[in-house]
Amino acid sequence: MIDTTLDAGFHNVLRMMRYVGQTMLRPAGLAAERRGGPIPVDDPMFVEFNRTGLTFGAVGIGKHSAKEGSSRINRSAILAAEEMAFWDQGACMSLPGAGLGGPPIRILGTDAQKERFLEAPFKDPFKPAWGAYATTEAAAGSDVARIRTTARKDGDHYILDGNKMFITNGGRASWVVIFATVDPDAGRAGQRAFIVEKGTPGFILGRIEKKMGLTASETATLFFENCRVPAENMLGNGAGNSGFKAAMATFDITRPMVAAMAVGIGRCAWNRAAEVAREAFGPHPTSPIEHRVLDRLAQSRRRLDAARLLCWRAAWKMDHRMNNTLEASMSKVYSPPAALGAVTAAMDVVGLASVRHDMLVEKCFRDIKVFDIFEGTGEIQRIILARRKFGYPRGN
Amino acid sequence: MIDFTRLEEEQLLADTASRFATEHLRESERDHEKAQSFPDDLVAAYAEMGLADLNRAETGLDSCHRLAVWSALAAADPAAPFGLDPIGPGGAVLSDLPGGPGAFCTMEGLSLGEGTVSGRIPWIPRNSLDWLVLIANDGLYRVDAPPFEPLVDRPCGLQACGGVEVVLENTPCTRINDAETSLEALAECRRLAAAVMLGAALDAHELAAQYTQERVVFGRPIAHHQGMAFQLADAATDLDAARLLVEASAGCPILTANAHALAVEVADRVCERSVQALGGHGYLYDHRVEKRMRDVRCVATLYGGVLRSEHDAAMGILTLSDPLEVDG
Repeated sequence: MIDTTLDAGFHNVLRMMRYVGQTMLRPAGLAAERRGGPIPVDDPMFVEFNRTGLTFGAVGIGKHSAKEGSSRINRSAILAAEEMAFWDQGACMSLPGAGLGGPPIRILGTDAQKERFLEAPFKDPFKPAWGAYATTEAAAGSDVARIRTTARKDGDHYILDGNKMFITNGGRASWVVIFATVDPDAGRAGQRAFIVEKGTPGFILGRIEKKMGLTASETATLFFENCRVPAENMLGNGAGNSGFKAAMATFDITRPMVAAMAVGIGRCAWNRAAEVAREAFGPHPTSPIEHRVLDRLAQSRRRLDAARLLCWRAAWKMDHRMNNTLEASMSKVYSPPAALGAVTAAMDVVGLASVRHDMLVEKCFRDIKVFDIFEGTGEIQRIILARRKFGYPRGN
Repeated sequence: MIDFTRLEEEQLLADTASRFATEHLRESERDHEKAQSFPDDLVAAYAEMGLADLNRAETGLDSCHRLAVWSALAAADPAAPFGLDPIGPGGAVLSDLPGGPGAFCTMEGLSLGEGTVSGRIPWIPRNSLDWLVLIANDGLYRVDAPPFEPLVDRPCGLQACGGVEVVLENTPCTRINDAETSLEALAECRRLAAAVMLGAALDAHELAAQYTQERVVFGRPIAHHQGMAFQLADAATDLDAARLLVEASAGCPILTANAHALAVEVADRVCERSVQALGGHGYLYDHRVEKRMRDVRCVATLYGGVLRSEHDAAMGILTLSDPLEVDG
């Protein structure tokens, strides 16, 4: 029997997220929209978040590995992820902290690397700091074995050459975890992860991307030109493919989180549409068009509710140390399209006013699409499912 | 608490039902369909295992127990739960139902008079009827010894249940409960119908997955072509999503109506895609996917069908609270 009740502990998580979402994330996200760019690094909100300990990582993405945390941590995190995305996912992704760069360091890093990159930069709450994670390149995203950024050994250094794209907080990060290859013909086996610090000669910020949505979040393109990185910055002293696999395992945690964020955005739009419907004709519709409105809302709601359950199940399995790769991929396959459906339905319900900035649903519409793309596209998730369940071969 | 652990008793019942289905239903599914009935010894065996009382309120079982059993039976033969259970969906909300076979029906095509009911129920998946319980807006109405006639021709699906038509002409009926119980009964009917549809669709999907990994086209198994692999992945995901939604909808008739609507959509699509996956073979009686497709479509018409569940969900949707609502 499925138990979906939210107990006092989960209520506390949600109450906290609702407070910060309402008072900080939503206003910051809307301000970023008006500005047309990411939240500035000197925004006082970041200090406020630092002081409360709610950094990018502590509230969901990337904080906890399968070996860490209590038995409720993933469920709490997934609730937090949905609730924060409800208020503003772009602002949430802009929060200080190690971000997506945290998990690979936690899993692959030496103790010295953990201290140097996960602890030291984040000690002073009045000096917000960011980490970042960079695998994707202009010509290699889903197929990470095809990355072309190279790492060439040169004495006690490695020399990096190449580019990285779609890097969250990449322009403001104190350090970036970079995946590069020491042997382009070796595929994944040739890949190594390096921590490159800001200011390293040859580490060049290309540009901050202008995006369809998630405006509050900074997305950077980075270049590495003859960039000399000390060999001691290689993660885990070159753990190689096994390390790479370990890093990939973090997807089992992060994919349900990302799926839950999509549900949060879908819920935000749904609630706005429901408010409009209530104001327009109350709970008892009379005309055929009003019936159609309610029908669309019911359709969206059933898919969002089902998506949330898939996310919760994946998190529950992770909390119980059960393999959840299938469940994680299922949640990621299902939730973004369900949320997109909810958002488009909301725009249909709200009508002409839905295209206006002040109605919020058009922002949800622009924000939601990328959830079917990042953290492994919907197509990649289907390949994972097909491999695991139906013998779909690798390299097909 | 957010917990997906299956209760021990629930698992035990599901295992029992699966064992019964494997031993008694799987191999003889087509024979039962051809005979348009389940043999007496099979009905007796079902009762001996204690499954015949599943839908009696007196057993005190939860809805999740019934879902587990009906879903497991449906995987082997979607007609079995309807044909072998003398009470059927809805029975768990009433405590004084007679022992003989009966059925719960919604009011489509029927109208209530002063202590009477008139109209026609074109199909009930039963061979005989000792009683009917009508699910009306203001309560449940019981009709004892309703007049019925066997269908002249075979229905589209659930043929092993037989099939009768009921024509009521100022037939006496007694109101036996209130509107709230009526809503509960309808929700229970929808949940069990959804469990049957999803159990049957899962079986069709698994058969399609097996077939497409064996049959080779253009040098590789069908399942290893991306067009098919993605469909299979989507089917597996949709089935899990719909099942979770049905299970989680207990206790809320509006959510149950919404879950039923999703279950119909998913089960129909998965069965049809499973037939497609087998190509021409899927269309033949040699494989059971064609039967799953027919059976599921017939179950989808029961208890007001999907249009009524969509309607009920839509009419109540604005009364639902936010799913992550917290106090304070």
